[in-house]
Amino acid sequence: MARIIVVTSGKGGVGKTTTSASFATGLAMKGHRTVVIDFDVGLRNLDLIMGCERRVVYDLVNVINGEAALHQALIKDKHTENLSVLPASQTRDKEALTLEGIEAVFDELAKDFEYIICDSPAGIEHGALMALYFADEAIITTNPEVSSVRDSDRILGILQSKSRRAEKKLDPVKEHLLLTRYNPTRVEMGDMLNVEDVQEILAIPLLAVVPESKDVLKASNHGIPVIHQQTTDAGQAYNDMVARFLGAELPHRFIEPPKKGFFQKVFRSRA
Amino acid sequence: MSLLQFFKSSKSGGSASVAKERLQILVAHERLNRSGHDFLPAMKQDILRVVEKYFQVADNTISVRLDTDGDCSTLEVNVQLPENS
Ligand SMILES: Nc1ncnc2c1ncn2[C@@H]1O[C@H](COP(=O)(O)OP(=O)(O)O)[C@@H](O)[C@H]1O
Ligand SMILES: [Mg+2]
Repeated sequence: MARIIVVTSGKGGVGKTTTSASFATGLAMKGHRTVVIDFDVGLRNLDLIMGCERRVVYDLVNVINGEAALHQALIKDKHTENLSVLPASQTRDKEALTLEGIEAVFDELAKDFEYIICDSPAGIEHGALMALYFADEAIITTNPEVSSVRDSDRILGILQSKSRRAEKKLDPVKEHLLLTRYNPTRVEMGDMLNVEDVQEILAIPLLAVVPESKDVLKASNHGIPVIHQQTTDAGQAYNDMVARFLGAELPHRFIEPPKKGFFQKVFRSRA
Repeated sequence: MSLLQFFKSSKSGGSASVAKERLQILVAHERLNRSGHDFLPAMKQDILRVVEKYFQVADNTISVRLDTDGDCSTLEVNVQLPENS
């Protein structure tokens, strides 16, 4: 049985696509056959972050409409074995996705893949519902910031009432908190919500903390998911995320501010 | 508190603690509303079934509303009875 995992948040710009790309890549690097699907119809971006934008021929909506076979739309990742990308359509018709269509695609994907990762669009409307409906697990991507936390809570409410698992009264969708764009220095200064605050409010288990990092932008510029950069904090944080998701017990990292060097301390105290 | 103090406040009274407090109140409120919306239609049917034992009423003559204000919730049930009952 393939596991379907949605990367969702409610709010836009919190790091869903960044996370989907690195999470899917990480699962594939550990040897799991993984496909990552862009559900952001009209605002396709995952292909850019994965670095396969020039190889897009067909997309999810083409497959649903029967205009292309699934294998024609799937793009095999160039850097990682076991990994494929299914791009979103650029159509302006937001209703192009249907539950029946998605279910048929998932059924076919489940024959070849162990993990199906769904990169959700922002919002709590049609597109976000389509992305989360069939999920077995959800990565609640949250920034330590009021509107993001609130929107995450609303998405949790939707998962608990509108997903397939909720409607069919099955075991609930397994929820994971991914706190990203975390800035330990600002947390220490008391002007950013800390890990415990967010966890206390959302009351779901913490999967990983990904620090705010310049390397994420660099990785996006190159079209290489940041998890490939194992010398960077963000890359290591995503690596931990994948390992924990697969059952490893690792202490949480990147929640303390970086140790200041002597010169930095002097400079800071004078500044 | 002056605007200047407001932005200068640090650690103990930092803006993060304000954020947390506001979020806790808001999220609790929104969760209550959510659950309210979930069970209201079912409860309305239950009430209707009881009223029907004693009066002839139609489905659309009953309205049920749940309002939440701070930590106080009120349930408002309105049943319109037929004229010659
Ligand atoms: N950990 C991070 N550190 C710094 N920038 C980040 C981080 N995660 C995401 N970003 C940046 O935030 C922006 C939005 O990220 P994206 O993954 O596209 O969010 P979403 O898919 O939720 O809209 C991008 O510019 C991305 O580079
Ligand atoms: Mg996105």
